[in-house]
Amino acid sequence: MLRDCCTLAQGERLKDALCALAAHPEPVVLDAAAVQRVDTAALQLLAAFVRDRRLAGRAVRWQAPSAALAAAAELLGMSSMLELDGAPR
Amino acid sequence: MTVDLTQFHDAFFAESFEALDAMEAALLKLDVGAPEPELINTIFRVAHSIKGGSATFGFNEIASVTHSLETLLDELRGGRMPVTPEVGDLLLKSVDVLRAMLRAVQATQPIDAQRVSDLQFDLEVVIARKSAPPAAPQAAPQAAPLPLGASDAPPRWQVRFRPHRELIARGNDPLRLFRELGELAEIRVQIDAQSLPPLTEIAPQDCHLAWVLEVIGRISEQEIRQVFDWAEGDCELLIQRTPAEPLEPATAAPSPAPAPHAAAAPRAGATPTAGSEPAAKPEPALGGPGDSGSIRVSVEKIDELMNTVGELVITQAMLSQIGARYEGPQAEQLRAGLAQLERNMRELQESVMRVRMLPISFVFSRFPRMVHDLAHRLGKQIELRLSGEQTELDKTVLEKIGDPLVHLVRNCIDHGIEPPDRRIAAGKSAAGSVRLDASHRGGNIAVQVSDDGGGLDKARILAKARARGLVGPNDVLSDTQIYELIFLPGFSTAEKTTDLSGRGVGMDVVRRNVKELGGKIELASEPGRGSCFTIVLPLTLAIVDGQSVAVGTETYIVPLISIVESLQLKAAQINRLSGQTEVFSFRGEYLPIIRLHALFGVAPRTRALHEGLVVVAEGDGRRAGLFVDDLLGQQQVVIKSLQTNYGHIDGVSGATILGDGSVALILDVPGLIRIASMRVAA
Repeated sequence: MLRDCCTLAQGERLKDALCALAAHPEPVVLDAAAVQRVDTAALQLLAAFVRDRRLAGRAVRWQAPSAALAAAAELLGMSSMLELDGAPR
Repeated sequence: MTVDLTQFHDAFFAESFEALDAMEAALLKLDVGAPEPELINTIFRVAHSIKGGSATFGFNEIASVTHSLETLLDELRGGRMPVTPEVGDLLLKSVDVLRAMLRAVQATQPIDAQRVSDLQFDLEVVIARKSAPPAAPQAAPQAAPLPLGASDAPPRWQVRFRPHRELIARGNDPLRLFRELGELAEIRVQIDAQSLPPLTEIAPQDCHLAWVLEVIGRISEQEIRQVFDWAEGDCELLIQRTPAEPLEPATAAPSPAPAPHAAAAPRAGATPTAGSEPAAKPEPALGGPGDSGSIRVSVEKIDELMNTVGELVITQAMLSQIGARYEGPQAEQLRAGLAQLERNMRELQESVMRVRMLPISFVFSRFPRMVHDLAHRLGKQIELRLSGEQTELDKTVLEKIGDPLVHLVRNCIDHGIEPPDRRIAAGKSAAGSVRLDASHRGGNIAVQVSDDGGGLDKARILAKARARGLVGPNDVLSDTQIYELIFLPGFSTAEKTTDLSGRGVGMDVVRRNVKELGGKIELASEPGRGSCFTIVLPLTLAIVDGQSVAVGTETYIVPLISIVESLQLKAAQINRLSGQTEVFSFRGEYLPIIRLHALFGVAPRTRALHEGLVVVAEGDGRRAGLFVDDLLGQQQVVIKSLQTNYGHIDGVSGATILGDGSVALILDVPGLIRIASMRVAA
């Protein structure tokens, strides 16, 4: 579950949380419904997380990503990398 | 590699304080409801640069506050949120808090955490109140998507944007840059994440991504560059015109090392399209034309330079005097050379002085905010008009003129301008006007503070002065003399003391400060029409325009600013009061005569008053005649402080070295008048 504010200021915490989930054998579900603010730093961490999981053959699924998150990812050209394209809204 | 960043702290603080001043000025100009986009941009850029700087130097609290501020400004800038009076006040408050934080950090003192968290809370609340979620970027611009017809195709640009690792840490978020660009034109973004390391190796503040953007729309290269202006130096940026067909994804992947931007312009020009768009403008300087070519130099270095130039001026004057005495075939050549030297010296001196000069806007800029706050608190409507902000004067003078001006402006608002109802009753507009005007007058600068309020109440001033025993009950005073009373220590006419003025410290302090700068203050007032204070100051404290006078074998310098006129007395003009004091009649008033030879213990050429000359000088609103042997000439003299080199002497403000190498004392006229009147009293 991602917090409403997902920016550089929370970077370390986000990274720690994602690292903890990186090797999780089950598909990880990212609940991004509450994300109101997001920046490049946070999206970069998420992108690395999603890519690392994919390379390791492990799945990541999005749970209702917020409009703010989707718009930011789109603007940065990161939607497909984050596998947000087909995510349920 | 570690770089000691502390060496840059001073520059950061200086720049940040300046930036905050600029932000405050812009905020005060901001129209509620219909804000000018350029102003919001200015404010945004300020917040942004402070954020970047503080993040770089590890001042995290400041970075965090500016970040919240920036988020709010971004909303305002995007028009997603209206500028309400509440928002305006909050922004002003942010300026105050940031200034306080910077001061605290600068003084390595703790930051007022409560105040900061209050502000952050307020900012967050306002940001959260914004109703609509951010619009999808492509939907935001009003510029309707242009038809992509072949004949009328809008220009296309390819922007290769490869941030350096520290871009984000410096406060530049690509997301915001793209959003901004997206508001100007249609953009298609392609990310290059090839260098993105595994999650565990990523430091959150580092940027490992790069982008290639396709920008489609009627936008110039310069406009695109402006968007990336703030990332300059933290990224590689390559902007190229592209033919009017869509970008192939394969070519979009950026090459590992894009060419430096300098190479971009010629190449962009070399691949023009056949379109009808205006020719690409020449490559702009990357930093923009405004902010190029200035360096910060410490004041000490300039003072040192100034001092050396002063010495050179003296040496040059000495050489000229010696040269004038030479005879012979080569004397002409020598004198021509000396004349050339003198010209060059004067130019050098002026150039060095100009280095120390700053526009008075540095002082004026604090007033809009002050007037805004004061008017608010007093329930008055005030219109502040500034003019002559670009008038330049010496930095030292500039620093010391601030407080007296603040006092005068406060006085105008507090005492001068009437409350709106009284103004309307008097047939004036409800809003009072306060004007600040600076201008050059010869070698001086005149700063006027005027208001269109009620003017000085002569009857009340006089009554008060009588009550305090400053004026005898039956003395008749001229208007000027009555106005002079307000400059006396301990004089205040405010019916009720406010926290702004009227504490009895005020005008006397103003006058003292102005006097310390070698200036003078004048006052004119008209009942019902307002009053006007004029401060006349020398442009610099390093050089004074002086009249040299001879007393016996000594030369003294009287500052020109204090001289009213010089005259030769006739015996009939001279009177002797009570055996001691000598006075002379000068335009209907009797002025005391100060014999400089007696005061300084010099043997004069003559003791007979009608054989010498009297220089009528003025100081502190009092006049006196200085008795001297002769007038020598007017010249600019370089002031050497006696205080630092020797010690304080009453009646002398400094010394200078004359062309022949001898030392002349520069007279302090108000001090002389004070001494003379004390001797008489004793």
